[in-house]
Amino acid sequence: MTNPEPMSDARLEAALAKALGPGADDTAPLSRAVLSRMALDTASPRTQLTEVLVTHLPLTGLFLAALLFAGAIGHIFVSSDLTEAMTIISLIGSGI
Amino acid sequence: MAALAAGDRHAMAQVIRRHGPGLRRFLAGMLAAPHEAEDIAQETFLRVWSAATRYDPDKASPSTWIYRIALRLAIDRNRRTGFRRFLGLDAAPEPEDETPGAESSLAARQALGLARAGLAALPDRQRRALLLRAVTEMSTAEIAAVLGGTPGAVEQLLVRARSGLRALMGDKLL
Repeated sequence: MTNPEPMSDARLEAALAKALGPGADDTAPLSRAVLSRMALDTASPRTQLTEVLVTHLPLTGLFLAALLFAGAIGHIFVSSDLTEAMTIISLIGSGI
Repeated sequence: MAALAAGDRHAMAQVIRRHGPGLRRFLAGMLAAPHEAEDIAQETFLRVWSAATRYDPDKASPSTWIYRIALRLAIDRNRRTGFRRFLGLDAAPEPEDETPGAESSLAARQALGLARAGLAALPDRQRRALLLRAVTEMSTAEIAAVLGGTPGAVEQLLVRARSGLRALMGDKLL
């Protein structure tokens, strides 16, 4: 048996809201989850930056130092006279 | 909102208490994958927290601002869900609720399914307008501010949405 009276706008909307919200009024779990994520998000940017620097900064420094050293050696060999370089090589070779 | 912008977490808890229930209902009706409603609700409040300093009370009321954020997130999530379903990545059925008391809430779940089926049959803008009216009791002007458009257009959307839902559901929702 159906209701001959059409549902009023307010009743329709109330029924819709009720149907969509089983358990929606208990906001404690939502609140806990949001506040926890807020705490994590607040800490994370600085923490991540520190972690990255601690892990990679020494390695990066070492790599850059090696790169500079190699560059300096290359510069010395290129800028100096070729015969001089050959002399150094032959001296090193004769030492062996 | 000023306390929120100042970093007051108690104010955030109050905002969640005030807007959380309505927001969850809104998202349950909006999302193509309703089990994601809790996740998007959390995301919405996190966005509110991080953007609180940029909130301008002259431009929007707090509820209008919050629901606008939620709406954008829901639209974005629905787009992704649609794409995943298109690719066949999201075709698995939703897991059954195995928590104690789940059987006793069978009627509530049936009502939820019914409401969602009815809403899914409505055009997007009609569904959004009706949801905002039903779960937040916003005025027509406030709904227009969330959705964009004029109050008159929103009123038309509401009339059509109610009429469409009545035609689809009759009095099954009661």
